[in-house]
Amino acid sequence: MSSKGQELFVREEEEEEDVVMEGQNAVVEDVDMLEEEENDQDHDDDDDDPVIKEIPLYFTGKDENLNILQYVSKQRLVNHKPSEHPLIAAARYKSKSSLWELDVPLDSKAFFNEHKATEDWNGVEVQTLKGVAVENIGQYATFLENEKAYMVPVRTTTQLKPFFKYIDAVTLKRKQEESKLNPTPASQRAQVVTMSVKSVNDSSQNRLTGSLLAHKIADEETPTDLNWAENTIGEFREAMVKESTEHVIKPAQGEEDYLKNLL
Amino acid sequence: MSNAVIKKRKTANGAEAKHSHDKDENFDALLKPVFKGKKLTDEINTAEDKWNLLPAFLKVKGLVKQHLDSFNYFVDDDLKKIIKANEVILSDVDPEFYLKYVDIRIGKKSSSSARDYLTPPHECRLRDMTYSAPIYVDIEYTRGRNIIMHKDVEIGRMPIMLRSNKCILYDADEKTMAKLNECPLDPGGYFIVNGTEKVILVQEQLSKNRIIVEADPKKEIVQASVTSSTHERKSKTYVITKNGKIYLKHNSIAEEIPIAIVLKACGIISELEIMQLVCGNDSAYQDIFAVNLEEASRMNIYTQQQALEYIGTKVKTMRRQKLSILQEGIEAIATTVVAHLTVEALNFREKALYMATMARRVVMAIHDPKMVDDRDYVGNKRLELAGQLISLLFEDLFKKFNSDFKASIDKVLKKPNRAMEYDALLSINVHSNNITSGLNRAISTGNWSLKRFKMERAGVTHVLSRLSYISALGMMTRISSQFEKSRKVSGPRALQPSQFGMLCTADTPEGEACGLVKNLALMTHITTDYEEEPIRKLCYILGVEDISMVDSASLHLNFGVYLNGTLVGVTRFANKFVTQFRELRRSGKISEFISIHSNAHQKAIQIATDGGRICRPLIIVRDGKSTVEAHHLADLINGELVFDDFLKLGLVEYLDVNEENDSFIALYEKDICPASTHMEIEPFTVLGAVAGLIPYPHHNQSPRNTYQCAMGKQAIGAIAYNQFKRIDTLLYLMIYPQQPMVKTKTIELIDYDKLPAGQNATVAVMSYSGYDIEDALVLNKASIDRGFGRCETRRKTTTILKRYPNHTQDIIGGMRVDENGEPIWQHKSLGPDGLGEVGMKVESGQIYINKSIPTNSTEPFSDDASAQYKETPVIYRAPEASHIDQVMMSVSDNDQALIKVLLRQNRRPELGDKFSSRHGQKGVCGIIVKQEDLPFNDQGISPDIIMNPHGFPSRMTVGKMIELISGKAGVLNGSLEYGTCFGGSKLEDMSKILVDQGFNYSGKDMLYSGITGECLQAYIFFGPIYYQKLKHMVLDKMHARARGPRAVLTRQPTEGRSRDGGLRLGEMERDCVIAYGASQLLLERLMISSDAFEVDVCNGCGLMGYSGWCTSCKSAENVIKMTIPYAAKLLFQELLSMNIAPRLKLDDIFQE
Repeated sequence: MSSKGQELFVREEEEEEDVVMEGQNAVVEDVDMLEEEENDQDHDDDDDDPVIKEIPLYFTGKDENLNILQYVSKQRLVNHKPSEHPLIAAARYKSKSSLWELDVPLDSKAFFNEHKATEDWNGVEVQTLKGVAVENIGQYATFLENEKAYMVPVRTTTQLKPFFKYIDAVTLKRKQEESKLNPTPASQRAQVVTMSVKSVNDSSQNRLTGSLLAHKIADEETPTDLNWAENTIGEFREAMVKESTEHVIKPAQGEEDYLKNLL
Repeated sequence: MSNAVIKKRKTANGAEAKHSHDKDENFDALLKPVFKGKKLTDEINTAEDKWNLLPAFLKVKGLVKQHLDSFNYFVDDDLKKIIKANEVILSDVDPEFYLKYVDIRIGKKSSSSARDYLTPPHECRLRDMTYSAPIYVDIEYTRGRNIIMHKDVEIGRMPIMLRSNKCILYDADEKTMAKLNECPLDPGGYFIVNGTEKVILVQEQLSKNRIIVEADPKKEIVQASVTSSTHERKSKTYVITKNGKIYLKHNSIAEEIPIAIVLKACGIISELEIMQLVCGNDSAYQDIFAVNLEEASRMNIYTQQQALEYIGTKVKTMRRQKLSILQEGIEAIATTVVAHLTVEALNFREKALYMATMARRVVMAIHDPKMVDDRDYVGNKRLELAGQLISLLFEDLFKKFNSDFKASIDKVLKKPNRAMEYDALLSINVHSNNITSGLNRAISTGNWSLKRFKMERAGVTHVLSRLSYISALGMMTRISSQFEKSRKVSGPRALQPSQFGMLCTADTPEGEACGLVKNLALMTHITTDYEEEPIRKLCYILGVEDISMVDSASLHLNFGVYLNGTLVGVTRFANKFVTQFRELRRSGKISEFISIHSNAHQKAIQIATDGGRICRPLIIVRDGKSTVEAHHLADLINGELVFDDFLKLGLVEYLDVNEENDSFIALYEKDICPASTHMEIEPFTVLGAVAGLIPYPHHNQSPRNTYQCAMGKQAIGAIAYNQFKRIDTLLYLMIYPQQPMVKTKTIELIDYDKLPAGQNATVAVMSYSGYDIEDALVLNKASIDRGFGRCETRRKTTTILKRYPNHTQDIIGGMRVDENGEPIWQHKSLGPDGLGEVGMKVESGQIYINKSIPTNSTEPFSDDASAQYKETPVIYRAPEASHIDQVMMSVSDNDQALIKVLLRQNRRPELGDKFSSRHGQKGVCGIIVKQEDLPFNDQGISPDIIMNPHGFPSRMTVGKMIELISGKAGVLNGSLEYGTCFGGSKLEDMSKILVDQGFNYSGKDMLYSGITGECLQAYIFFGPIYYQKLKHMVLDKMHARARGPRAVLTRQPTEGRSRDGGLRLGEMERDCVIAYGASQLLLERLMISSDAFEVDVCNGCGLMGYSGWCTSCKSAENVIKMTIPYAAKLLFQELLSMNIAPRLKLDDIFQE
């Protein structure tokens, strides 16, 4: 369960990063880009945009499993203040299909239709957010510590969207009830059950491909329940700073080769 | 300018690009002391000499380079991709078995370094063979427990495009070409299939995988459509408005789906997010779109699952595999709709964004009707070339090959007890003929049928027209449109401003295909596909935010970056991104054919890497100055730089139509202003190769140039250096072709001066004899005697000596002799071998191939009775005699003897032969006049042609007049003058030469009448004009008939010259004769001379009998003989057969 712990720790951390990103986008700009701009001294937009300060960059956390969770439906501002990220009641993750599911307790004090929630949808208490993690290359989460920028690679990004599980559940239930109440002639008819032995490698066997297969795998996979931890950012920072002092990255190539390899 | 000066300035970047280039003979001319009137020591003038980039461009690119590039791309890259996509063959029976294609090569074995020997192209032409190379694959497969690797397995033969990199003529020098009987000026780019030269015409299509928004203001419909095209499937998706609401429409979905439901099915569940994706925060868009959200909630669709199930119920595809409704919905969204973005996993975001973009474009067009696309805009078109078309065909055939192969493997593996281990290699060769014959058949018939797209396209290939060098060249640059010819629409036919420099503005046929068939301009390149992935990465490196990270709310705040029509990210600094991207392209870090442009209306940056875009090179302008400077051009002329170096040095770049729209291009150096980004290399490149022949076209009325483009292709001239070695069905050659006195730069670039089609005629513009009405020309008999307009026709006859199943075969008999031992008249031209002797004259009725076929070709005959033969000689029938030029006997592909006889006719111009100048002014020869009767000038020169001045006022071909003056000046000056479009020798200079030589400045001379010797009353416009003899000659058209063959069914005279037919007195002529009252003439023309037939009509029953007997009345009592047209009798009988009885009631006209 150690991996689980790590994942959870990181998840909380990146939450902070998400906020940072929206606030000052320039910080999370691509590293290569930054370097290139520094190299290109003769760029004309440097004239009206002078360098005010140089900040050393530290690459760190190469073994970190950093995931960015984006709350797409969350308001950016509440009463002119950046909104806080919601309280997470439960978190689930399907590793084979990189599927996140977070439960956010509903605020039943205001704008909440108690009746609908209990009567129609069998007592809704949480809002489920769901999203697919997308592999990411080239994005870094950065934080400033002692005038030094520490950059940690981001593994995946996930856009979390509301997922009305309870509606689907109710619909399914209603459908089943309906089919029980109004049996179709087809289902009532006595059926002849035939059995045949099929080779495992039979080609006529249905083979799902592409997205259908992915959905099937996702449906069949049981999610891992994860614990949600808060306020671990300090520890994380420390760990990263420590790591950066332990491992020093040396350039394997010169500038020429770098520019050549860009493409 | 000395070389020392040039060498001094080798700057840092210059030095890397100036690598030593191999000596190129084609460029030798440039190195001679004097080239095109310029010395090496002459001062280099940037403004004037930048045109030297054009020959440099044509040297690398050539006129048919687009065909060659596309074919090379296919054989080198595309084939490998096809193999990769269809890599493995598995057996249904034996799970252990697999076969994998590792590599594919054309015409080269992996073991040998040299290419395979191919039958040379000219031999293929002569022997009716296909010029092709074997397709080798390396395979890896299992035999029993072992994995076997097998290299160089031949799976078929691929027709090879001439002068492509798989052709033996690739990079061949003139000497090698001559050795192979090839013309070094022949551009290649065509195939030889079964001995005929076939061109795959460039096809024009609407671009694939791009959104096109159109509006119909009358019906209040706005639609965004996208034609998705992948290797696997093609489909079209629409986002369309209906009653103000937006729906998704697709062929395999039964009804239109509300757009909100589609987006929900893609996982955009929140209505806020839908609104953000489609409208951003633009309140006008939000107002238009809001109604769509109601639609979804009215249907109680809230979740992704509900939306998918809703779509699933509407899907109407037939599947072998049963899917649940939800699965159907997933499948529809993931693969069917917008098929080029196939979702392989769970993440639908890319697709959702694409669909939202389509909806957004629709909303934008509703809000502002100007935000629609133009389908006729050249930037929205893609050209499909030979390589792509063959690639589609090959993949289809390869799939078929694999499935056949698999079937035969399964068949063997199914048998449980095989004596030995099965070797799959044994069955691979069985099917190899399918690929070969499939490719050959498609190219030779032009029918492209692709199973996987259910596509049937006819008329893709054409026989290469070898009427003249220009007609062959013109065919290679031709672009045919998929648009239906018969429809009377103006839009697709109109001249598009965006085709400037890309498509020739003058060269299009007249009539039904007008504007639909186009031609490439001189300096164009058509792109091939380039991989997207590195470009996508580059975008991210240049600071584009990945679309999977961008939240919906901020999506439309910034510029979207679209790669081949698909949104890949957003950027805040659009201009900076575009500039940086262009800098990378100019420095050669990415392919020069990738285009980028920004569209402020759509807040989009579009990057295109796809194939089929037309682009052209332009000089880059920086800071109001052209980057190409005099020393660059000097280096170019000295051969130290080639065209590609100009690209690498960032002096020249390729722009496609879309990027051109994003640029500010100066026409000349003097037009450059601070905002200029580019400069034209040469303005005359707006014209194509064919229109480039016209001197001073900028002085002509535009349709005249178009007419000349059509006629230039019919001009008789030299075809190729190997023209006398060719045996074509029909070849016209001019005996003494001349290069024009007034040339153009294009003429030199395409080597028209080496293979000209016309002669410089001295023309007097005056009236003479009255035989010059309606543009008829008066020809000088002495000129004709000297060889003016003389030409040669060469006609081929092919005979195959067939072999029959009973071991008999066709034979060639010897000649028959009379009692004196002399051959009989019919056999006079035959030699002892029964074939015409080379050089013999053949007259109408004589035999030149004395072939006989066996009377019995099916049943086996006994050996003692020798086979009986029937004579089936090939008889010469024509109004004029021919000479036998060549006789060839060979063996074709299928082992049958092949005989080709080439007959030659030498023709001098006669009355009615058609001539034309290069200004769309055609005329027939009206009279041939003795030289002594023609007018002459002070020098005693009499004209070759007299042209009536009435040809000028209405035609407004001022270019022709300037051609005459320049030509005359050239003759007097001893130089060739130029009439290049937007340039050429200046009229003032020409007049100056004329005056200096003692002539009138305007080109008019004083002439004396040849008949009276008196001076003519007016000065006559007199000088050389280049005249073309066109292929329409009286000898091929003259026709008369007294009696002759009749059609069997109607007994009326046959139709057409080739069948020795009669001349029709048609409906209108009939009306005239009726109006004139010439009833007896009418009777004679319509019946007596046509199909008069005597019938026995029974006046009793009104039906027809025979021999004086009525079969229905069983009597001869009332039978009357009369004459009616046989067609009438036929009609009566046909009516009878339909149970309608026409009864004739006869009466005497003249009552006594």
